[in-house]
Formats: sequence, C-alpha cells, structure tokens
Amino acid sequence: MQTVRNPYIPKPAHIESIRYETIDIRTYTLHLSEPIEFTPGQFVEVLVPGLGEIPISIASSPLVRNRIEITVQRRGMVTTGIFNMGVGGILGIRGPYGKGVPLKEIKDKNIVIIATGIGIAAWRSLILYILERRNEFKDVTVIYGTRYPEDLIYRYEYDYWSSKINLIVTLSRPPETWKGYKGRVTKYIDKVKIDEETLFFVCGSPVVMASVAKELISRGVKPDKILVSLERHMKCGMGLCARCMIKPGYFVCRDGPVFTLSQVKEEILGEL
Amino acid sequence: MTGTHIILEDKLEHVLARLSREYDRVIVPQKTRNGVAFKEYHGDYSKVTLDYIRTINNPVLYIKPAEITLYTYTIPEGIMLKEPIKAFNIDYEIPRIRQVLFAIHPCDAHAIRYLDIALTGKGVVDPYYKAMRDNTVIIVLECNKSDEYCFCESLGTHETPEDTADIKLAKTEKGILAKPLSDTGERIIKELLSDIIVEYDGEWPKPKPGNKIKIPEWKLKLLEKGEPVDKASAEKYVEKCVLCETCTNLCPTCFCSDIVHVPIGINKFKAVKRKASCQSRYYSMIAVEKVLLERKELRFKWRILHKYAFSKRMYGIYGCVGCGRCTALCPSKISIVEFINKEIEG
Repeated sequence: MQTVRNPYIPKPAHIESIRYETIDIRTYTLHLSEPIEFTPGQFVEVLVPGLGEIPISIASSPLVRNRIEITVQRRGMVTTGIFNMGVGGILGIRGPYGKGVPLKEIKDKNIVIIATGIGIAAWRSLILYILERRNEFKDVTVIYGTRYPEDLIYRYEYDYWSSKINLIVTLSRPPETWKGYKGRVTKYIDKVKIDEETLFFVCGSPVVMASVAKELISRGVKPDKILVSLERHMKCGMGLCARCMIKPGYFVCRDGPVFTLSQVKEEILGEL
Repeated sequence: MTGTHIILEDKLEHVLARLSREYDRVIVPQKTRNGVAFKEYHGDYSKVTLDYIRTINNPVLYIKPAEITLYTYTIPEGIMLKEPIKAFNIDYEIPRIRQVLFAIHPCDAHAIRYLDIALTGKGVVDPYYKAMRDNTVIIVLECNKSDEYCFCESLGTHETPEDTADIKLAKTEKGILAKPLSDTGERIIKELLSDIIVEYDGEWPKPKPGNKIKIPEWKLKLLEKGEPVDKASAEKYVEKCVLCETCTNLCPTCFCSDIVHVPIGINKFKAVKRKASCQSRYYSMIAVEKVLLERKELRFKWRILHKYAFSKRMYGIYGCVGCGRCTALCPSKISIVEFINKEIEG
C-alpha cells in the first residue's frame, strides 16, 4: 500500500550512550536503524515520541554513517523530553536536511572555526572530519569561547584536537585559577594568519556572529569566505512549511543552515 | 479538445447531480447565514449560487486542509527499552478523496497553481497535498464583478490559468459557457453532460471584473525587490490590527505550517501538520526564546514580503492572487493595497 516514499515519516533510532557536557548540555550517541549520508553542517529532525520534533545539527564525523551524535541543550519541552530519556530510549530521526559544507571545495585551504557556547556543536562534525583527513588541509585553527570554564563542551577531546590543529579556548569571565586564554573570541582573530584563501566558519549567538563577522570584514576578509550556521525553528526540514524563511528567496532548511556571509549579510550584521 | 459548449441555466442542477454521482464530493458556492461559502453539495439546489464576488472561506481548504494528520503512532509501554526496537509503530494513510471544486473564481484557481509549484514543483513533493490534488477536478467560473477589495486585474489573476483548471465556465445571457481545458474536463463534458449541453461557436468572452482598486506595474516591480517594503513604515496601518490571524487563515496561498504531536489515547499520538500564521508570536520564535518578528509592523511587512518578493524569487510567480479576502474580512479593514500604493516608494 505504502508505495510513495513519505518524507514526513521518521526512522527509529535508539540512544546508545550519553555524555554529560555541562549542567544543561548533553551529547547523545544514536544508533540509527538505517545508515544516513551527510556532510558537516547538516541537521536532522529529532522526534521525541509524544512531544514533538526539533531540528538539531549532527555533531559527529560524516565518515561514520550508522551512528550519529547530537549535542542538546535543555531549553524547551522537546529537549527536556530527550533529557528524560536514558540509554536505550527511542527517538525518531528524519533527515539529513539542508546544505552542509561543500567538502570538495574546502580542500587544501586554511580553515578557521570560530564558535561560542553550544555553537561549536554545529562545526564539530567538520572538526572531526578535518582531524581524520588532516593532510588534505593547510593551517586549521579553532577559536572557541564561553563565559565560564564549566560551560565548555567536548572538554575530553581538546587534547586530541590540539594534537593536530591549533586550538584556542578562551573564557570571557575566567576564574582566577584559569591559566588559558582570556577574553572574547574576537580578540584572538589576530592570532590567525589570514590570506585570500582562508575560510572562516562561524557559529554562536546572533550577537557573537555579528561581532565576529564585523571584525573579519574590517580585516579585509571577503564575505563569501565566511560561512555561518543559522538557527531557525525548522518544522519540516524540506521547504514545505515555509517557517524558516529568513529573507526573500532563502529557506534556512533548504538553502542553509550553512550560508556564506554574502548571502545573509543584513540578517547577521543587523544584530549589532 | 472539443470546443465551447453551452449549459442551459435550468440544467445546472442536473450537472451538479451527475457530478455528485460520479465523485466523492462536489464543492459548490452556497448561501449561508454569513455570506457565500464553499460547501459540500448535498442536493439542496436552492442554496447554490453562482452569483457571488467573494466567498467567506477559500476553496483551497478542500485540497489542503488547515489541519492534516501526518501519521499516528503508539509508543511501547514506557519508552525505555533494553533491546533496541527495529521499527516505530507508525501508521499513516494518505487521504484520496475524488472531488470537484465547482465554480471557483480564477483568483482561487491561481492560488492552487501557486501551491502546485510550492508543494510539488520544487524538490521534495508533499505526498498529502499531491494525493488530494491529483484527485481534484477544478471547474473555474470566470468573474465579471468586483467590489472595493478585489485587485486581481493588477496581478493578471482574473484570467483562468489554463494549465491548472480542467473546465472553464463563463456566465452569459445565453446560458453558461463551458470549455474543457484538460483530458478530465473533456471526459466530463463528453460523457457526463453530453445530453444537457449544446455546441456553441461564438467567441469566448474576455473576463472583465472591473476592479475599483489597482496596484500599478512599477509598484509591483518595487515589491519584487523586497527592500522598499523593509524601508516603508506600516505603523499607522497596523495600529488597528488585533492579531486575529484572519488574513493568513483565509488567504488561499498561505501555506506556512507547523508540525505538532497530539495525544489521542494511552501511549498513542498523532503528528499533525497545521497552518501556522506569521501574525502569531510563536511563528518566529527561535531557541533562545528570541522572537524575530516582535512587532505587529514587522509581521505585517513579513506577510507582504512573503507574498511578493519571496514568492517571485522562489517560484517565479506572485503569492498574492488579489482575491481581497485579507482586507474584506479583516475586522479592522487593514488594506495591503492601500499600504502598497501609499507607502512603497522607489
């Protein structure tokens, strides 16, 4: 009977393990019933049975296809529903959706990833891909900032990351005992060598993205070399519900969530 | 295709009777206490009227209802399982109702054409819409009247979209002219109605609604750009807005929607796709509980941006068909045409 593929139907996935990142952020490893192919930056719609669906970025390496990791911050009803589940809990997955990072086009280039808070989750997939294929890229720098040390996520991976790429972790409100970098992420942009081919990947709260974009532009970076990951309340993920339109002609779910700054300049810089 | 035919006015009841025998339901404009509305025909011919300017509901609702059940599912007792389950107990049924939309005006037919492009023409196909659409026969009645809210002539939507409609009708002194535009339309005229129609070899009359308000061509060009709308001030127009969402609920082309999960029993839920209004606060809320369209003015302008600039860029046609429902049925009579004509400047 069901011959037409129905794009609304989620596939079951069960929670294989949970990592506690901070007091309200956890990373879930999901075992999928069907392997999916995705590129960094894409997202899935996660169904919590009985509560609803939310779009969440895939935070694991695109080279692993039958397991994905999602990093979730407890915010509303659905995310609380995920938090209430333990290992073995069942979720539904639809996707992947959106346009991710074009992996072929970013080869042999300098990469700079700038993120704050949970924004790093949008680019973790890219970071893990780069770590596994390190020789395909030139200089890679990750600048990651939060307010307090207890807000940092993926702490257990920093040693592995910094063994292969340049990692700058900075706190804007550091405690006295903190020995690492201090201040906002924008302060450390000067630490990076910028050439014409350098690509910037930015994700964070709207204000952070705006100030980072402004700093980069003032240093002569072209807007189409800056990639941002946007967040909207995407309901269907396929461009059928029109909820995530950001401006004439652009859906976040179909044309994004990864945009170049030249595409969404007004939306980003308008936050300042 | 066969040529034009005349249905004699007193035979219209037979036409409806034969269509209702052949199809699951026939949707006809009928008189109600609040005005003319599209309703299912149950044989009460006295209520049927072809003499209307605007209905109080839009016929598109019969193809794309305001609420569709996408699927139902049960969750096992307690959602914690030791063994991974292989499949969800998801159940779904795509509704297929064979129906006729009888005597809809060209503007509403243009709305259906727009939804065809938006929901089935670009990339992913919405199976729920497609199933309903494929089983729908569209019979358009061309319109020669308008009131102070119609502006179809400015948008070119007063003429029947020949690729969408199956049959077009026009009222004349001699009777109702009928012309098939598709194979289905031809089959209906030839097989179902052959004995109550006569051939007609005259010219097809051009529809002349005679709109009282107009949007000039150059204003439409400005609307397509989008920026002039952002710059214009709508403050004095939205002052009276009560955020009742009537404009988006009655608009035949509004298709923004929301997917919600509703309990329907113990451990049983349904996923429902519902019309969402850009006039509501929830529409533009993102994870940090920031509302992007915080003020009424922004929501009003968003609606206009979606209808003109966005639709033109994304689908190549306007999302507004000039039916005038959003103004005529607005409790505060907020007019988008007035806003466009007075405030949009190059």
